Amino acid sequence: MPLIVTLDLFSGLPNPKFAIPDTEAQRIETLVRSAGLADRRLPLPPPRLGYRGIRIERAGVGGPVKPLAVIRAGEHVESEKLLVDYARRSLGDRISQTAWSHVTSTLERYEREGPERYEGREERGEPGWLERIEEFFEEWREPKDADDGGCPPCVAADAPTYDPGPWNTEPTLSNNNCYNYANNQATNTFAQPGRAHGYTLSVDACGDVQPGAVLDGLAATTNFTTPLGAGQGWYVALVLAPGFDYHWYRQDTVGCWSHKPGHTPARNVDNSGNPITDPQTADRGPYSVFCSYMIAYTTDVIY
Amino acid sequence: MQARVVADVFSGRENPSWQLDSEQTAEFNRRLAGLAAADTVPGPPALGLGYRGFVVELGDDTVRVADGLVRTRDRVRQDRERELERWLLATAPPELEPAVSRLIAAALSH
Repeated sequence: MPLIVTLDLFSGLPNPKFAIPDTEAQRIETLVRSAGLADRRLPLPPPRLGYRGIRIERAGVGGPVKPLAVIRAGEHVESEKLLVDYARRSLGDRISQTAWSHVTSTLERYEREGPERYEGREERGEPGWLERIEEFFEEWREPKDADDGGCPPCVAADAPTYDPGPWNTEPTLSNNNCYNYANNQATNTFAQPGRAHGYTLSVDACGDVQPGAVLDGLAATTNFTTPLGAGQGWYVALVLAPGFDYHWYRQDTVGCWSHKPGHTPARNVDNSGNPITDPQTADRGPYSVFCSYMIAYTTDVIY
Repeated sequence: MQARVVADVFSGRENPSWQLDSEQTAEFNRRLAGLAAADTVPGPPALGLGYRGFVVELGDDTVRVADGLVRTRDRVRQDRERELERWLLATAPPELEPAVSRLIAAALSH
């Protein structure tokens, strides 16, 4: 019977959840049972920001899920690391790098501090508990993956922050594309260049797509190095797979670029998994033609 | 119930999709049932630009067929030779743009 594993992590977003198939489920169940973690009645973890623990349930075939184990943060680091590793392999960049960094560093800290037993501990107000919560806050406020080493400078005051979370949550994930993402507007219409202004799009040449974007309010430009002040927009880039499709990137405040391929999650790496320092040199798969950089504005009207 | 097939290939445009007829839907279910469970925990589905796989919508159920794996809500099966993906491509109507067919066929030949 497959297992459903939930990382108790987020506050606003739905917690990340993934399935462990039959073939692996028995091994995991044996592990948590031998660690004495299964079928316990535990009080709920205290509400706090950041990683709080892991819930494991058995997926009923045609029936409800049944609880197997709840592991509170730091309680059994070996099992937690194993499950987080499964989660990373299953969920990958559907969960932001910030969140993965937070979980990993939290578990490493628990490992360094030695075995942790949490039952009743927070409720007793053990020394250090408040400090740890404050550390959670700090980690949340200062994402560790905002590594600007290697990224070019961002000179656009209006540039969006790379924050894929809201874009990668349904229904925004499925109803918005690369053009929505580049314009930083989730219209939930899978927006097409020019459609808001009656333009009929074709994809044979860059000259078929760019005029639609210009109708929407974007402006063509030759580079992404000219400073843009507040109200003067941010840099985006248009590429094309002739006769097939178009694609857009946007430059974020960190200086590197990010994109949202169709219905799939927003990401800040190219098809080779590398950070995108310039869409012109990135691995773009079949989108072989670089059309141009453009400037997008908060006043653009897309649909 | 007839299945709907979506080829997950585009970024800007809406993905191409088509309907399987009753006979094709039954054949899809037969092929799906014949696949063995995956023997390892797979990584995340293919992402990025280009061909990412097929999505088959069967009522409330969604089946993702990509990279030699077939993911349903509660299990992952193996399709090592990617025969199910090739079969799904073969069900595409003649209206499917040649550039799309070529790209998917090239991806499946790797």
